[in-house]
Amino acid sequence: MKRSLIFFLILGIVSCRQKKSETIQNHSDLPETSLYWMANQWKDQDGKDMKLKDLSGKAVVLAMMFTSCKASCPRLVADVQSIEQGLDPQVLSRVTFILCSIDPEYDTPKRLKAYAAEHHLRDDHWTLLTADEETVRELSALLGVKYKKTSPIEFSHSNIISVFTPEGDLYFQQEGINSDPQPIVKKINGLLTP
Amino acid sequence: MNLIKIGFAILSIQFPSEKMIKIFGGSYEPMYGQTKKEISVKVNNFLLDAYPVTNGEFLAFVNANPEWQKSKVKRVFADASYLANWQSDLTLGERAPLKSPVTNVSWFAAKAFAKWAGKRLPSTDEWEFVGRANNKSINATGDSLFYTFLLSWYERPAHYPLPAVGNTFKNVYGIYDMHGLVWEWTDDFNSIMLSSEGRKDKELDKNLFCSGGAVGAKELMNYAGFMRYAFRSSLKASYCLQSLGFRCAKDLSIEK
Repeated sequence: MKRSLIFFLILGIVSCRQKKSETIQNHSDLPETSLYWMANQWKDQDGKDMKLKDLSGKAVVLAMMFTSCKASCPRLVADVQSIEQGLDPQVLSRVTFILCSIDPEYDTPKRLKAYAAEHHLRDDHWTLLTADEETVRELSALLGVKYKKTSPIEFSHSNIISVFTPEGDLYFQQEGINSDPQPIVKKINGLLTP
Repeated sequence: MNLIKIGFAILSIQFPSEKMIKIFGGSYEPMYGQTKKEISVKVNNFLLDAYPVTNGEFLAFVNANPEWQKSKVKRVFADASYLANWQSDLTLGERAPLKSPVTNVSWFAAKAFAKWAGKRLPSTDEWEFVGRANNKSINATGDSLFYTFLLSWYERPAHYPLPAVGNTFKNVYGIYDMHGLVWEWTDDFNSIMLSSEGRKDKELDKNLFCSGGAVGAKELMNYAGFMRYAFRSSLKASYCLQSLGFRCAKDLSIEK
């Protein structure tokens, strides 16, 4: 407890001086509850290998979906986009928006890239991720996101938007779609504004 | 690595139980999660542990994998109740008898144990496929006596410390404690969505879940089944509960 307090104090001092978007280099800097302890391998929309830890340093807004979903995913993504639009520019530069696919078979990096273009997701704000089935299952289990493949092209899944601190701690979750973006926007502003 | 494991097993405690039972798969109709068109699921042949994993077996695991010891585990993988009944990192103590099922373990910890033992967690479909068996038949679905029996366990408060494995219900496969001892993790425990408003508020449900034609439950008499699905649905992977343990499974394909 004491140690983590000191850690945050130091982090506070350091982060005043340093560029805030720097990723955390050292594992020992991570809080115990950090998502970034997950060492699994992901690929982004450019086919680049990455670990979730590479996202550290910025706040993360994350949703799990699949690109061929016709029902709720487009609305879920639209909800994340309204969060993006609702944030102040100086806060926005310290937030990454993540979409994780639950359909590794179909959602290749190429497919994710095309999806990002279709939905006007800007490369500098958005990262779309895919990984093997076990990795996706682990992330969903951690977040309390439920999903199941119900046919070769369909999944049932819960709609949850999760917000993480720059250190990877789960900060806030919102369940459901078509929600007012304001509460979550306020939360993020509160998190990133001293 | 194997040598160390064998050496360890001789020295101590308890090597993960080798007793696994061969399950001949088949098609079955799960209570939840299927679409209207495809109501049955195919389960392949597989092996399932005859007993839930014990404290003693789990002790061997944390001995070999210090990162899973009580004081060392990362909170993101196991909440503060992780191995709460154990005396210390490598001491079980009175509240965690050697041969009782290990509980207060997260899904991540259960998965890591299974991997270490060269096994895996059973899928929900595999677990439920075997869970249908009573002492006479591999499929006691619809047997009201069986349901009543299961419910009587679910209603009875557990006494701690828990008894040793192998003392409760033995099914026709020779598998013990599927019902009557602890709830058990499955690999895809988070695959089914249940909400308390499930039947009342269709619109709310639609917003929370995108369920491409998934339907409600079949077999409305099976309250015990409902409870298992509802229980799983309420879990997150880092949760460690006193009434929740696990057993392992293994593919059979290699031995064909």
